[in-house]
Amino acid sequence: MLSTTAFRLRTSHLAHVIGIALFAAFTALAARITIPLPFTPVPITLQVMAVLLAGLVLGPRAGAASQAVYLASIMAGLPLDAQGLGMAALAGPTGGYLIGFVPAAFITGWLAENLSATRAGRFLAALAGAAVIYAAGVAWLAPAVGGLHKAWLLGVAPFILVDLSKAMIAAALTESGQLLFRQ
Amino acid sequence: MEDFEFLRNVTIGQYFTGNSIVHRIDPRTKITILMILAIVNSFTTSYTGNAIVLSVCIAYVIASGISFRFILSGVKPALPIIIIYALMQLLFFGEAYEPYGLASEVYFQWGVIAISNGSLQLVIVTLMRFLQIFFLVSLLTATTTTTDIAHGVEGMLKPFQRIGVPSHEISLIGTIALRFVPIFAEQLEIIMKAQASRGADFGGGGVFQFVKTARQMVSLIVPLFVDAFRRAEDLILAMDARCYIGGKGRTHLTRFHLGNLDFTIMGANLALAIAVLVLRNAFPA
Repeated sequence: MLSTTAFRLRTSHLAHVIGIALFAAFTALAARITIPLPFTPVPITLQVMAVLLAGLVLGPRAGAASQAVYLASIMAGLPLDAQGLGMAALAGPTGGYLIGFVPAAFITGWLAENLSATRAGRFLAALAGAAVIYAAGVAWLAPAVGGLHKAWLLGVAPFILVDLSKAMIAAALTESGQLLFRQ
Repeated sequence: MEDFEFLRNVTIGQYFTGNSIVHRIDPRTKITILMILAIVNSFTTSYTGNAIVLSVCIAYVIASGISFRFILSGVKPALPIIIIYALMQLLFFGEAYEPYGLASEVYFQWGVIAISNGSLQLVIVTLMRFLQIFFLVSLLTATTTTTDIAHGVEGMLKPFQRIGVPSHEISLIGTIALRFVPIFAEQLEIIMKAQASRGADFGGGGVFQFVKTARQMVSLIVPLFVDAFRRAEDLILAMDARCYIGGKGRTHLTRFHLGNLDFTIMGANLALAIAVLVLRNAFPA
């Protein structure tokens, strides 16, 4: 399948550049793979997994850079968010989640490097990253829905189980990507 | 079939060849104008100010020769969510917003629902702002090739290279990321159709069958990732085989020149922006 170890690149930085672009694009596409829920304005998206994987696969700096590229293209007006609104999505009630992507990727990557290089270590790092996304999301959502408690019920509680499994899948998928992008 | 379609209706990013004045100006000029008008857009809250900026945007669309029908068709996928937001703002924020330049007036009140001229202004101005940005970004990508935009961004970031901004890498990453998005979307469609042909049950889940929708997603994630990694690997190998070594010492086949036309248009937009920003307190409403 992946023949990654067979070649050596002229510049290792090429792999970083492509990796950042890949995960920026992946986050953008993952926005469209959503499961709308009837009881809350926040949908389940695959984006959280894309963010966690960016941190795990690319490491803290490049992972955060990939999310910054995604965020910048939304700020430039491109309709790459879940609803296709462009810049208006950042101002809307779910804008906090998007802003949380950058620190989340960084923290996931940093913890994964500094905890242990096992699947369990990556899983814990991914959980911490998901927590960062939700902290940013709830802080933003709270004024729009009226209070922190309500924001917790609408914006975090329904997703805890789903995100445990997302973090697990991300931790499991990491190795194949790391081979490619960390030469 | 629309369950299989991602990003089909996205009009932003599609390029149209042409020789209009909007096509001919330098990409750097277009990006600068976009930035100037975006700043004006975010500081203008009055009807008059937004009407001026919106009419300027419409004038650009007309000058470019791109049909309004095409540009407005890009708003369609976002329309339901826009309508929901607009209704929420109109109905529930009536008491919270002071209208700009008008005496506060409540038109209708019933329980928590209150429509005032403040919330009406909020909705109309928000829609006008959304349309302005949407017109400008659509127009930029419709009249400029991706390569030109990338080179334009690179050129504009070049002065910051001294303080360590990797201008070449930023524009390269942006270009590749934006090229990847439609490729992945297409790939996702292919995977969905492949899984469906093997008997997977897609679509028709609806909002209340989220468990079913979640189960559908699982059969997509892993193939999609494997394919994405493979594509990235191919691209890395291809670029490496062509001796790509980064931005240092790299030259371009075509060079951009800022002509009189560019300076005139940039100056006119800057003057307009300053006028709208300075006079915004003088606008009646």
